Amino acid sequence: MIGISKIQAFQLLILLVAIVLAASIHYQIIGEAPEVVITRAETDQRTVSEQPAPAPANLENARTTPAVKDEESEITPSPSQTQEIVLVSINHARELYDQGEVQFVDARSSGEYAKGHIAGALNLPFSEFSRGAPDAIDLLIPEFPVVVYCEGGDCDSAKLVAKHLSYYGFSDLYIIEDGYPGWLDRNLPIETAIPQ
Amino acid sequence: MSSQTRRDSVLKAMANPLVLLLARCLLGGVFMFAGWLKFASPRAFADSIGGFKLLHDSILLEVGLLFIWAELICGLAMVIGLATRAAAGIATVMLLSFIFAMVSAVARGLEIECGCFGALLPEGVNVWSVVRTALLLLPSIIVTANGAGRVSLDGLLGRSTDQP
Repeated sequence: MIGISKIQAFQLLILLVAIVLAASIHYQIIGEAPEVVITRAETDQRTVSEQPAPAPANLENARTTPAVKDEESEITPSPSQTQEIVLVSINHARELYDQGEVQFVDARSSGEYAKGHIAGALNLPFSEFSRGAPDAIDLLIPEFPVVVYCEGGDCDSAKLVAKHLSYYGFSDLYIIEDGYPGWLDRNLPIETAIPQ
Repeated sequence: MSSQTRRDSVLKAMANPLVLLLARCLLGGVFMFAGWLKFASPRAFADSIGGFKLLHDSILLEVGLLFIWAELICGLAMVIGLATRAAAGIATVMLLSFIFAMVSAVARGLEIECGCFGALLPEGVNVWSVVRTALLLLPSIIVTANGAGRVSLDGLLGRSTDQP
């Protein structure tokens, strides 16, 4: 019942060419995304902006672990096209939190956010970026540091949200490596109220 | 009724012009809708694909754009009924690739966003998303096998059944 005539093969070819052509033009229009490199914070490493992250007093990872970079960092085309996002420990995140002018973003789902989140954090799940810039982005100030977190460990949401924030002009970005569970374990400030 | 007769009646029902119209409009509509949602933020879709950890990061955006435009173009072709069998064939291959990716993610225990319908349906990859995608295979196979039917541009052009 399923066979292919010459005309159907021709139609298939035309459709495939149209798809490739449209995708190529679209790619030319939106251009390549700026390269995003995720590094681990180091006391002697100047990371994302002119305003370096404060040197943490008790950063076991930072002292002992060399900077972890993606393979792409070896072939970085130009510094101006590279955006760095810094992985920080709970202690470092706490120091940023105490600075005050730092914005915390919870990349988990709204349900998990409602159960508990870092006090003052804004909920911005990755799915919100699927229709372009989410409204919640207007509540963030691009010039101020943004600390993103999710469940920690293998959780990718924080990385994806931080990466997309960089596309929208946020340059001072951090990710809490151990995520919300790590924050919770240290009995640091949390809340369950959802900001209106 | 013998199994041969039953099979013939099922095949005949599947080739019914109304069934074909419904099948291609349903499938084409879903494809166009999903493509349009992803069109708004191709980078977010590319990152969703990256979550499956099946492709290298350097080609995610290119692959994402190919999927988006394949959904839009094939969806439109199926709805208006032009080059319908070719479009449905591509749709079938895409659905099979989605199913493969989702099953492999479930098997590897990945907790990732499906990315199927963007922010409209933010959900993780799970058994339900696999079943839902697999259900779409039915209309895609029906249209691939039978063509567009009479109520279509292919029909107007005299290629309603598109038999080889």
